[in-house]
Amino acid sequence: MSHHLVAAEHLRYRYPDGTLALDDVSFTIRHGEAVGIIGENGAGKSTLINHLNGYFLPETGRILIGHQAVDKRSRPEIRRRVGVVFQNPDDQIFLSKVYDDVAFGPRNLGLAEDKVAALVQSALELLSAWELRDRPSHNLSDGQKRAVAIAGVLAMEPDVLVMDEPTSNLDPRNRRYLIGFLNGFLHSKIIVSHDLDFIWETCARTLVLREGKLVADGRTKEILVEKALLESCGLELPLRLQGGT
Amino acid sequence: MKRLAEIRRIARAREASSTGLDPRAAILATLLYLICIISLGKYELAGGLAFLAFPLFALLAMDIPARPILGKLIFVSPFVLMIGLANPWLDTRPMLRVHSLTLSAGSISFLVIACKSTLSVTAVAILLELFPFQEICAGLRSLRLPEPFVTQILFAHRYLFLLVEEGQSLQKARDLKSFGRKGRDIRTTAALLGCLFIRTLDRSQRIHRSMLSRGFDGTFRLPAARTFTRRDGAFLFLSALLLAGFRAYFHFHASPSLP
Repeated sequence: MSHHLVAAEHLRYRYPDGTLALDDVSFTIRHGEAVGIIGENGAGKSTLINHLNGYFLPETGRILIGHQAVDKRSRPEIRRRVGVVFQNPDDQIFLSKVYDDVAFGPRNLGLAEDKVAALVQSALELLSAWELRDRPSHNLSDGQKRAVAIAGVLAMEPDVLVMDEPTSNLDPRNRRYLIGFLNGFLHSKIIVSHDLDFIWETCARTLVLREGKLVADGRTKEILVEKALLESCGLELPLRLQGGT
Repeated sequence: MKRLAEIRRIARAREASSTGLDPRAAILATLLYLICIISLGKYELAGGLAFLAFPLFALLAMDIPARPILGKLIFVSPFVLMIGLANPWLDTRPMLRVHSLTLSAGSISFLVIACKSTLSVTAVAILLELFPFQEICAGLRSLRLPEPFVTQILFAHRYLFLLVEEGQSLQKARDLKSFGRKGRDIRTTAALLGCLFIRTLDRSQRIHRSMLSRGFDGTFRLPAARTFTRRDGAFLFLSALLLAGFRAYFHFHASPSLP
């Protein structure tokens, strides 16, 4: 496995309505890194996520997962290797029973049912959600839904875990639990969030996007203290650094 | 809200072990039942009433709540009325005399239409009550129903929830901003429906995206169907035998039809 696991090279993407969402974005994420992506609404974060598993293909430039460029042909393989947990778990959970929903991905990989069962169990156990396996998926709390959505992605054994706004709708206890889980997850992680305290606790490195451009890339604890940079990107210092305000 | 709760209640994964039956056996028995019902003659009221025994038995034996099924019957009843309501006026020939009451051929055929639709809806509703939707679809697939058809059914079921959920949140937003009749007029409602369509489309795209990211390639892979046991075979055989017996009886002892 390459240590250059995720790379964007001069990535550029324009929506059909003419909006330039990503403009010459380049970065390299090595195996095992935890990277936060921050930026105000409309900065291009979600567009970038949609490129990482080939839902969008770049207008120019390219995305590499390992040494493999993301294109139409490589998409099925890329989607196995890059697991994306979307913002709203309700959009991600679509089968009526938790077990079947988590098994959806492994079954799509064509695995035998005993292997599927083992993957589902280990993914749900990793999130302390195995007891939910027979529950109807629409009758879960937001925290449980988030756990099931993550388990559904982990069951595919991805090399890279990508999460879009993972703390939205989470109460403090579940948020704390998610931080603990992510810090124990040793594969590469890419986390998009407006919750800068969450990024502070889970990501060693942070990328900052502004109007589709990558304006900063460095250690989280150096970037998130730069008040001027954050404010120029429509963000604020993390609460922990706001000194009791 | 009630309707959503009702749909959700059905969607709730009901343990198949409550019947212990393979969904394929139940689907085939229901199909046979529907064929028997549909093939009854135009004036075969006695036959229609006799076939009521099957759903009644199922309701009692399997402890299925009758209320949701009645709700569905009420839901379809306007359509049935529309189909057959004119019959008593179109066909006034006297056909059945009960004491001093004479029923016309049109009235009988109307009652038969009502009876057939009630029984058909009840039979399908019982099937939906007994198995999680996915198991029914897995059963349909293993009965060699074309793949696109099964996937379409699953999608229709999934997107029905979205439509209802989005519709409810829109309605709530409108109600909170409406005072008296203002805000509830037909123009606002039309705009609301347009908005509902766009929102549902948007949401379905997000769901599709998350399905793609989990390896979806156009085929819904459901858990493999259970093994068809002897017990399932016996259930199907007995059902077929009983249905055929009932149907044959009403074939050979058909109600007198008009010349």
